[in-house]
Amino acid sequence: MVSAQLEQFAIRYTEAWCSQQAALVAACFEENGSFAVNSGRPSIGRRAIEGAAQEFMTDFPDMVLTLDRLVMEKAQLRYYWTMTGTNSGPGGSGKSLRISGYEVLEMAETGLIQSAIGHYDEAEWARQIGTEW
Amino acid sequence: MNQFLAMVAVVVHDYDEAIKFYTEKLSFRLVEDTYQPEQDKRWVVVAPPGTGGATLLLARASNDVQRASIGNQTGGRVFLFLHTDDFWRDYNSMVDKGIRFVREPKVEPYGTVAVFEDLYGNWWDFIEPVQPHA
Repeated sequence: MVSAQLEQFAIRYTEAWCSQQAALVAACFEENGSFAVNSGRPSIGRRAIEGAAQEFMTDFPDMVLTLDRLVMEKAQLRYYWTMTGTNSGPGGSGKSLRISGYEVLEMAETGLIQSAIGHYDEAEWARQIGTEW
Repeated sequence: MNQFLAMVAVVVHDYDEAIKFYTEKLSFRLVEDTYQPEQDKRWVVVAPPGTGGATLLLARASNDVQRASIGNQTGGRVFLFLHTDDFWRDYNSMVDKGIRFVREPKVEPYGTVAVFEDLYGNWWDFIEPVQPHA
C-alpha cells in the first residue's frame, strides 16, 4: 500500500521529467541524493542529477514520462514508468522511442528522494533509436 | 586481490570554473557535487563520457603550496591519459571548443595521439589506442 503523500510526490516527479527543466527533477532529490541508471555510475548531488536529467531531455526534446504505477514490492518502493520521445537532440537518430522501466526509490524523511536506481532494457532502447549496443 | 584505481585528484582554483571546463569543453559528466560540512568543502567528481575507468576529483587548493601545484602536478610532464574510441571525431570536437593542443596528432605504433592542456595547463595525452588483433 502506498500513501497518498507518496502518490502525490510521484506525480510531481513525473511532471518534472516531462517539463524539459532538469532542475525540477533534481529538486525532487535530497541535496546529497543519488540517481543511477542500470549499472551505470550514479550521479550524486542535485547538480549532478540535474546534469544526468538534462542528458535525457537534450537527447529527447519531446520526452514524455508516464507514471504507470507506484507499488511496494519486496519492501521496495517501485516507480514504474513508460517513456516516449523522439531522439532528435544533437547527434540523435531522429527515431522514436517507447520504452518502459522502473526506478527503485529510497525516500528520505523529508519526503524527497534519497536514491533512485532506474532499470530499463538498454538493448531494446538502442534497438529502437538505432544505436549500437 | 581485486583493486583498481578509482580516482585521481586534480587541484583546481575554483570548483565551478573547473566543472564548466571539464563538462563543456571535454564533455565529461559531473558525477558528484556535494557539500561536506565537516570540512567546509565540496566533493566534486567528474568522469569522461564512457563507462568505467577512473574518475577525477576536482580538489580546490586550500593553501599556498597547493595553489602552486595547480597546473603543474607532474613538473611539466604529461599528467593524465585520456583514451577514446574515435580520435578524429573527438579531436575535431575539442578543437572546435577551443581546446589547445600542445603536440599535434601523430600516428604511433600504439595508437593515434596528441597532447592537450586543460584550463590550468596540465598536460593530457589524448589517445586512440591501436586495437589488438583478434
